Amino acid sequence: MAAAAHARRAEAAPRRQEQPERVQARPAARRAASQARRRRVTRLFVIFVICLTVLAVGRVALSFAVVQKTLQTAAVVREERALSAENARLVEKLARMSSTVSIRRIAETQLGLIDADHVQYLRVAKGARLAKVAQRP
Amino acid sequence: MAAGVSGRRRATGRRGGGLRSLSRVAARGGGIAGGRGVDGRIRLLRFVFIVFLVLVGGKAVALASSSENLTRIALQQQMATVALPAQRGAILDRNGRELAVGKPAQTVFATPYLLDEPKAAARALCEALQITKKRERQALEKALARPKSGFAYVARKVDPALAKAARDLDLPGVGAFAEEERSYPTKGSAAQVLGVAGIDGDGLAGVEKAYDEQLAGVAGSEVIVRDPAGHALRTVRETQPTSGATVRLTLDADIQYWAEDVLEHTVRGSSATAATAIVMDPRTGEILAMANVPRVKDNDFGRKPAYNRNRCVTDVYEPGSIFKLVTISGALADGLVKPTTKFRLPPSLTVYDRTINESHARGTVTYSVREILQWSSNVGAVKIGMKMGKRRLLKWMDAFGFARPTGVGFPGEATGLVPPADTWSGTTIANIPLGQGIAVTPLQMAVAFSTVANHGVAVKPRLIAQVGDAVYDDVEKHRVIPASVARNVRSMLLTAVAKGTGTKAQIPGYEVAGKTGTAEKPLPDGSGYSKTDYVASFIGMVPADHPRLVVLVAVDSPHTSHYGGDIAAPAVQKIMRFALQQLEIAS
Repeated sequence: MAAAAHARRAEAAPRRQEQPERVQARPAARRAASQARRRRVTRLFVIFVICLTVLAVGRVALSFAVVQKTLQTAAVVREERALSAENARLVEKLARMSSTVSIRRIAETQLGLIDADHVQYLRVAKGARLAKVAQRP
Repeated sequence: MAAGVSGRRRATGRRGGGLRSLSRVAARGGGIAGGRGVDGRIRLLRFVFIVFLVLVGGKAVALASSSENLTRIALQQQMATVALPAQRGAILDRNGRELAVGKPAQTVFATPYLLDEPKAAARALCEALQITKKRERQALEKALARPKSGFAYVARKVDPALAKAARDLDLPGVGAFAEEERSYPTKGSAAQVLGVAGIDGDGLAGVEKAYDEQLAGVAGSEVIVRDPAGHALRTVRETQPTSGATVRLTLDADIQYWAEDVLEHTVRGSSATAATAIVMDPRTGEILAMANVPRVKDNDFGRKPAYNRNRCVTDVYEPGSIFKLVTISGALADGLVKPTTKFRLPPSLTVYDRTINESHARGTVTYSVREILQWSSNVGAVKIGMKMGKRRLLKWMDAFGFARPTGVGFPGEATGLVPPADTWSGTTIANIPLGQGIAVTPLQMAVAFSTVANHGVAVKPRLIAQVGDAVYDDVEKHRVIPASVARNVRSMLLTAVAKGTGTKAQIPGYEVAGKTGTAEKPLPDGSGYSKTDYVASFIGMVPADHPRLVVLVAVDSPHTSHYGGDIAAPAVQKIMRFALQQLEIAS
């Protein structure tokens, strides 16, 4: 009886020993699979965040570049307008300086010139030499 | 067991290691407890991320639902419409020299309610902008001292350098914007012809007014996006301004200046009140000079309004003896007289209650028609006029273009006055043949003489040569008197300058034809004619056989002498001499 019981126990013992191994082996595999899944998810999440960051940085860089170009364009437009204004100012100054009023003032005040009080008209015969005409009284 | 403990320790001992540490721990095969810790943090992170996404999404939905309103507010804050003023077209003389041009300027403005100390700000701005006049300084102080005011002009259209000095003061609310200032480089020469453009760039008088639409151009605008500091970031929409058209006149700037100079000397030398001159090409009707003295200095039309008129076109006067040309031309054309037809002329002639005298007393003479014009005989002209009769006189006045606009296209042109046939009194026939009792503009007289100069063909006077791309070179003409009559009249006018009343208009080397005029000015109350105030005039043409120039000078109320031959003829001679040289006209 006792021997039979011992034999049953002896039979049961390895079965009991086998059970924890199986129990231990199955959660380990699940854990490994779960960890692998988590790693995948984590990796995907990391990749997603990186992509998002890259996109955001790219967008900011693009906006920055656009703003830079716009500012450059605006600066060129401003320069063009300034040059046009300067051109208009110079045209006005040239017109003022070349007007008869200015030339007369400069002639009288700076160069000491006066109006001619007599203008002589010479009748030049056809074929006459200018030097001879000029010598006439 | 030991491995589990050590795993937990490792896991718990690596707080703050981030995702990499978490995954590293997981990879090292941490225990159940360690795995739970990592899971927890990942879950927390996921939760935080989801909350973040929800918040961002919620905000996005909220923004989207009120986007219209927010867009409007954003646009108000960021966008601004800036006017781009059109450049006003230039006015040039016949040779392309600028008579009126646009000059860049800046207008300085302030936002008074932003100024902490308006008085100090006004003082500083006056210093920077070189505002020295007390009245202007006080006006600025007053304008800036209004605490509720959101806008005030500090200075309109000032030099950009001055505006920069004002901006550099860094006063809150003080800024400047670009405008265009009208500049007249000839400093008032031809001012009454050019007119003036006002502070807002609108033509107010003269050519500036008549051609305002063409000169003004079309203003543009741009819609810009600004940063918080107000700097333009980008242009959303832009409409470029269209510059105004350039207007080229028939005037010659040099002849114009010279004519004004001569008139100024004449007025000063004869103590006259004013004078006008017209230089015209009789072949084309081009007006080469249209001078009025006193001048409008620097085109400042606000100083003395009485000087602003272009009297050559807008004012009428009784022409006096120069009108005899019309009487005699008409009589010759109708075949009533010939140049050699003789008239016995008493010293004076009484027609009803009016006695006609000569300007210089003389006895009874017998003059030919040529001599009547040569010596400017009033009695002779009346006798010819009476021979013509009312209807013929009216016909010839109409044919020569009196009592209607010349069509020069200048604003405010006067038509003159010729009394209608039914209003003639008995003495009218004794007035009109010698240029009294009618009113003409100097330009009408110049056109009448140009008709004789142009072999009997009247030409419409022109002041505008080109507007933008449109060239106005069509010569509108029609025959008034036969060429033979015109030749005869020119010959008589030549005698008038060679031996008659207009000898002071002679130019050595050239044959000048012309006629003097000495007209009594009618009294303001209409009771008769003044015995002290006259209009002395002379109108001449050169060279006499194929005239290229017609020059008229009329001097108002000269006091050293009142005869056209003494006052106006020398002025015409000086203007002609210069113009002949300038245009290189051979004799």
